[in-house]
Amino acid sequence: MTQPLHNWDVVLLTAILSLLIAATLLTILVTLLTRWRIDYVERRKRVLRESIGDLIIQYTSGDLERGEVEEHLTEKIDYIVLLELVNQLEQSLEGAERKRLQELMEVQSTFDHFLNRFETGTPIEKAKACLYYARIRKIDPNHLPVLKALTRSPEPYLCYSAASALMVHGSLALKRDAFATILQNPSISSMAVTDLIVNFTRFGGEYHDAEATILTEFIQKESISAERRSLLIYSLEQLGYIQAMETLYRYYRQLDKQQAPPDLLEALIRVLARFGMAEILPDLYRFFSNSPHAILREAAADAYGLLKAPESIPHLHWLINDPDFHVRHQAALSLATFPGEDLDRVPSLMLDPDEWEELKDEVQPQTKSSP
Amino acid sequence: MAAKDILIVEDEKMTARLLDYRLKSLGHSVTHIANGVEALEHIHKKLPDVVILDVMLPGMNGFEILENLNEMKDVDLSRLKVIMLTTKNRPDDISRGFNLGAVEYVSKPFKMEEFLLRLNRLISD
Repeated sequence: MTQPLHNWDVVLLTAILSLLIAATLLTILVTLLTRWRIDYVERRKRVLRESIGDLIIQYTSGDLERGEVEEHLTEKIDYIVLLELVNQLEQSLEGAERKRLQELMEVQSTFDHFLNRFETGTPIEKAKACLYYARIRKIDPNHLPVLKALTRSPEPYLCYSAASALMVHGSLALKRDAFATILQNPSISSMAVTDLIVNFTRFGGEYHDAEATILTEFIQKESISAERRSLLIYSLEQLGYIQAMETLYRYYRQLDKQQAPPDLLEALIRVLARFGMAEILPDLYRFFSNSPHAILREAAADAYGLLKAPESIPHLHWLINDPDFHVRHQAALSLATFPGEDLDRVPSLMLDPDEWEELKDEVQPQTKSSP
Repeated sequence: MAAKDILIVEDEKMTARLLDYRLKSLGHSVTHIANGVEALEHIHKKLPDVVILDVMLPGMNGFEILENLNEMKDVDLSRLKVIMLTTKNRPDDISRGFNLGAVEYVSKPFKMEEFLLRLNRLISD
């Protein structure tokens, strides 16, 4: 049997209910206000991007003077939006328009803004200023030692940004020092290192002999991780630094083929083979067709296809039956590039017949279509 | 030179805006679309005189747009001039573009003056 509610019970329940309603209304109000504020900021940014975008387009097309652009740049957000939009457009253009875009980066007010950030800003502001320095043609030489010190910062983004600026404005010795520091910093991503390698070589001499020498010197430094050294080896190949191949081969020869880090050996095998160094073949037959590391067997299969020595064919027949799929795939691909080699006649004793048919279908159209 | 109806299919907004600005200043009528599927629909509804076509696009890439246009029986492609404008500039990309019907292939980064000269030559042919 239920008892009737007393007056104070009713009052208490009403108060709780009112509080709940008030809290709900307040939450809704706060949510709406927050949403409105986000929309407002987004709208403002959009309008700003449109107006600064218009200025950039007109300046790039030669329809505005620098002073007219400068008049519109007054707030911090203006410079940030300007840089972002210039970056986007710069990637598509070259010639006169690109030059005008670079001039736009160097308007006095933009320069002063970043100079101030570089001298007094927080680490992230300093990093932005360094990235800005990496984009302009000239900086104060007194800033070079500061940039060098910043490459040793505990903040990886600041190390990278300072090194980027040094790659553009530093002497060869400063670049070398910055590079060595970055390569030994495990907090910096491989993508950032690759980016620095590109800038390091982009602003180098005509034949890049000095850059090639520095890169090969780092490849031989055991204080730098094998992963980073592999990255440098692949970069040498991508940059076409044929002058580095002799040193790279000498380094390869002195490595212990069974003890050296597999990813380092893999990079060396692939790159030396791409540069046509058939001298590595005896080692490949001796150590790598039967290596306990699948990446090295795969690299050997790749090298056999590139170097095209007839003595490699039995090794490819062996590797086509490898327990690792990637090795089998590479071996089939390499074998199909040998004139007169027909995959239908290759013994595939260890393979599942369906997989073998699939592999042949995949590999043969690729090789048949290549010249 | 007569004004032309030009469609820019480009997802890099600043590049598209610059092209739009320069082409309008030459008196052309310009439409900009950033999405491959929408661009195909637009061409199907109203055939422009010239399409400036990027390859890397959201929805459908530039090559796929050309493939689809080639399959459309009700589109008179002989009237349409396609200029590819793209960072994809390996020889097989270029030959693919021409094989699918493009009449010009311009690699990014590009020089605006050179691009406009090529366009002018194309539309005055």
